Amino acid sequence: MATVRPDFASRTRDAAPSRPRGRRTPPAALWLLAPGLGVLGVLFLYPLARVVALGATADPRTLGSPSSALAAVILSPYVWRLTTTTLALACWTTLVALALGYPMAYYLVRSTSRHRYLAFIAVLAPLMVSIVVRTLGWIMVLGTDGLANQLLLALRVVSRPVVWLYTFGATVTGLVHVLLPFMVLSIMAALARIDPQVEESARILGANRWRTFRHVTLPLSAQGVAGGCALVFSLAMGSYVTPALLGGGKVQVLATQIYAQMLEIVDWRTGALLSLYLAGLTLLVLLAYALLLRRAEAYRGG
Amino acid sequence: MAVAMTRAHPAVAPAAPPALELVGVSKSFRGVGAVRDVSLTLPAGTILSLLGPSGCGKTTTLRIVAGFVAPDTGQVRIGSEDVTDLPPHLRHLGMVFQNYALFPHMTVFENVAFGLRMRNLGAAEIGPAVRAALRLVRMTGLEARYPRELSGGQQQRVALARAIVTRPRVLLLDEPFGALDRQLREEMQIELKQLQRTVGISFVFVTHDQEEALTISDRIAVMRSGVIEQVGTPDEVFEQPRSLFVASFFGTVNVFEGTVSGSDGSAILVAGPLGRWRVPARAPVSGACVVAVRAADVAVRRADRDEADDGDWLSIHGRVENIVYKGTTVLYQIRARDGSLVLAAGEPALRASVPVGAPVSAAWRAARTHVFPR
Ligand SMILES: Nc1ncnc2c1ncn2[C@@H]1O[C@H](COP(=O)(O)OP(=O)(O)OP(=O)(O)O)[C@@H](O)[C@H]1O
Ligand SMILES: [Mg+2]
Repeated sequence: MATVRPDFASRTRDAAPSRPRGRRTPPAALWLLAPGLGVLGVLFLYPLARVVALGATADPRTLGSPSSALAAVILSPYVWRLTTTTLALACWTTLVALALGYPMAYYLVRSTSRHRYLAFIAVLAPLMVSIVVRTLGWIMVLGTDGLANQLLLALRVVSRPVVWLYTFGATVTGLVHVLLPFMVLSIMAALARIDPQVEESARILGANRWRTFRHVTLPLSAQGVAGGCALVFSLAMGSYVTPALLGGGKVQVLATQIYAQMLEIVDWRTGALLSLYLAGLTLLVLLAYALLLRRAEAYRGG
Repeated sequence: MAVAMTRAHPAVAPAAPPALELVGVSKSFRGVGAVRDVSLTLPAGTILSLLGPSGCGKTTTLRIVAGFVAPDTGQVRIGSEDVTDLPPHLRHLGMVFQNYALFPHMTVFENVAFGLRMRNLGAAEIGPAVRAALRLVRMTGLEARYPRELSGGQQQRVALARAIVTRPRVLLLDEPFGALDRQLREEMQIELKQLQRTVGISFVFVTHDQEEALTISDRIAVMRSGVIEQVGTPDEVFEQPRSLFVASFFGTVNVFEGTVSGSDGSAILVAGPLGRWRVPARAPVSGACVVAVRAADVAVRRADRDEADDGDWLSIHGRVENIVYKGTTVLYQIRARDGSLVLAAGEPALRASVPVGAPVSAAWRAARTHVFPR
């Protein structure tokens, strides 16, 4: 048995199926964070500190304390309405992006078609065009004499142009378009890590396609789903351009109001307080979300 | 030899249909045939190995049986039921992958229980069945671990338990020990064979390791570029290879070219540059041929004078050109008088009396000579 044969095993896929998880980061690795943290510090923490300082200055008109000023802003019915609209917009955008993004990500990872590269480019394309241009594109499509209405009128489906623009639905549509790539990329990364043979194992063990998806693919891509949702949600919470252009003043969210306070009314203090409120709100929702995920994981794990 | 030829296959009652049958199965990828007209039968309760070099179509054949790949032509039958168009989850098979493919998000217990859950069994049945399967592969006590917390060998055992717990009609194993170190691999081979006897399930075992195939199998199918070259018991394919490819797959062989110059009943006469040899005829050969002799069958002797071949032994004469130390054996490279190189295996102690440069005779039994058409 002296024939020398090449080592086939090393040519085939890496045999260790699970990567080590939950390992502690060695202290030296923390230095790798330093440059990134430095940039974040300058570009994010400094303006944030300025905003906090702005919000905390006593208002010469009312001479109220900073905390009572914040309370007054937050507790006003108008801000409460802005809050519910903002949350609803972010939630709907996340849900629709998830519903559209998961199948797309699945196709892009699993398809063996030569055309999937085109689909991949189509998914990424929105990232290459500025948000303003993309949003104006929607205006041209959805406007009263836009493409969609012209088509419907020509086909005599409707007798008068449908009003799509400057509605909540139009804003969600525009935001989904802008943020979908983040959802798709996040889920793709998770799906690509799943060993196809793990799914085949489920199939041969008696699981049909749906049960394989339900018990294997979905749980194994849950991290990507969670990450994509967090990303899309927080980006939607802070989005300004899309609600401003596609909401056309009819869809007022916290971000558009902050802009108005700071640059139109030039009430920097209220603007700063609203900014802090929006940041805190987003953080709070993401924290609650993270806790929920951890609970779910602990429940599943034991 | 005669024993090997007349030994019957494990007796199968005529009533028991074969566990698995492939009939004329072919599959091409982009016009290139990966599996070509493969027909195979797996008698119930036995182990069949698919053996062949990389890319010869072993995995594809297995995936056709599993239902992950649809054959272009041909039929797959499991226990005489035609399953060619049945999706994998309805075939009631088990499979062990080379990289284990355990569910990383499930514990050992949940991994093994998965197949039973998919059959909608209740917890009262699943618990004892899972524990029994884990006991069979000697993995009791690790039920709560996750796959990433197990060694490669342990993951392999869990994969085996997961595959047998559902009592599949056939268990498919694709190079299951390829990633294990040699010692563990040999242990697992013996354990797998014992396990197969215990559970009585029929196995199809894919490997490119000829020793592994010889150790494990009841029958071996040797594959070459999508075609089955030979099927037989381990000693049939080893002792009576039907082609030079099969012969050289089971270890180093010496190949001499020659011409068949005649035959007398049970033997044929081959004329070559190294003499005229009388070798037993297993299959009719005429005209140009190759004579193959395993290096392991060639004995080296110090020869200061020429000895004539007697009836049972054939030999060539030459000088030792090089000696390669291999641990339990040494490989002699002998330059024959006509310039050809002959390889012979010897014991390490032999090196003292037969050093490099010594004139030697390399001899083998005529019965261990194989003749194939050229
Ligand atoms: N999905 C596929 N698409 C295209 N070609 C394929 C596909 N699967 C297998 N092949 C080709 O079919 C041939 C047989 O492949 P297969 O995986 O069955 O070989 P193998 O005998 O299992 O080899 P190894 O020992 O390396 O695992 C190879 O030439 C391979 O490139
Ligand atoms: Mg293979």
